Amino acid sequence: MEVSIDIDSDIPPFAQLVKKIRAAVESGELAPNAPLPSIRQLANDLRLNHNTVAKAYRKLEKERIVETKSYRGTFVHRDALANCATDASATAEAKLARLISKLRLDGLSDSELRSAFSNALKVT
Amino acid sequence: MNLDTLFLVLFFLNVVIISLYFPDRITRTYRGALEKYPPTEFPKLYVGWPIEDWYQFLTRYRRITLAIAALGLVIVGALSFLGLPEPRSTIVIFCAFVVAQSGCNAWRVKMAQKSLAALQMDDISTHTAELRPRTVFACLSTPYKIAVVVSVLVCCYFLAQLAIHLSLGKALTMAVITLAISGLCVFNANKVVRGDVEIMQAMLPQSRNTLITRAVMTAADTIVRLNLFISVVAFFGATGNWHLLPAIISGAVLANTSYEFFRELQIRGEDFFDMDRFRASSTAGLLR
Repeated sequence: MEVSIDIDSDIPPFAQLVKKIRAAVESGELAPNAPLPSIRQLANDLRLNHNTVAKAYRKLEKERIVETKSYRGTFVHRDALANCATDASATAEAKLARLISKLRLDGLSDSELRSAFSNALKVT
Repeated sequence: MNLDTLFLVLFFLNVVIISLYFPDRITRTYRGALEKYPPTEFPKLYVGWPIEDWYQFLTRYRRITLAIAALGLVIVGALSFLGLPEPRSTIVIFCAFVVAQSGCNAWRVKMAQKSLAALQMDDISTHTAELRPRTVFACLSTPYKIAVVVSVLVCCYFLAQLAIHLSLGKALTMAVITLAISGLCVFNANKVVRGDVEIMQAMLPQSRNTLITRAVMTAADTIVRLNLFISVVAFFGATGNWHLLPAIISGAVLANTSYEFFRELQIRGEDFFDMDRFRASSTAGLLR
């Protein structure tokens, strides 16, 4: 199973990597518990910064698509296929859309919403 | 043929084969590759390392090897005229000459690697990797693993014999040298396995795997040969036959270096690189 990254693309390399690994899990090319290359190996092969690959792995780990087993390395999560169905970004967008509609009904303008959202991000 | 004559013949063959024959073949191979991939058709091969620099480097390499060969012939002539000193001094003289030969060869390999690392790869926008972890042990076939373990055990046995029958200090020194060289082999193999070699990034994934397998097998091969060589030296040391060592060492160096050169000559750039990538109007990297 190969993964390709287009470094000239508008999509950041880390997002491309996340998308490719997620697609490989969904298509069954990466089976549950399958071992993944180390951050160093993948970063060297893709000519990416190690932090970029680490960031992609961290995101996939948060989404429970991959899991790190201490010193043994990174593996595809046993429930990865089910977890792929839950797109964290899509869920967040849906929740925010519902909240924005509610706040608009409460009479807040778009600029007030932007400002409130920005302040809330700063606080958290 | 007595042992002194055998040593001198092997020393002479060492000079002729390692300092004359193989450098000539290597230079012809390099020149052949430069003619096959001229800068007019493959400009991206010469961006960081112009063709003039290549020819200059080859001329310099040839001159140095000729100078080393001349030095070797003078030593062989002097030793055959004056007679061989005691075995230890003979080994020191021979080893000093081998260090000069190896130094020249190491310089050539280093320069070739430097030139390969300068290949223009930045215009390739699609980078590909395999989603499969690589480990040194996974790249090594079972016969190789068995060979490494057996050679280490054999070496340990003969070093123990040397420590019992001759000197613990000598056995420890040889053990440390063996460990240091073996450690270096493992370190280099591991570096290649992790993809931590700049030139690997210009390779296609399947070529990358071929290179990794070859690098790991070469490391294992070197460890086996080293262990067997140390075992032979320890065996003759333990049995008090030091006078046999000059002939054995010169024979082993000749066989080993010839093998290394022969293997290097079998490797071709086309096996590892998509040469079309380096053409003037190549978009090979962009299309994949």
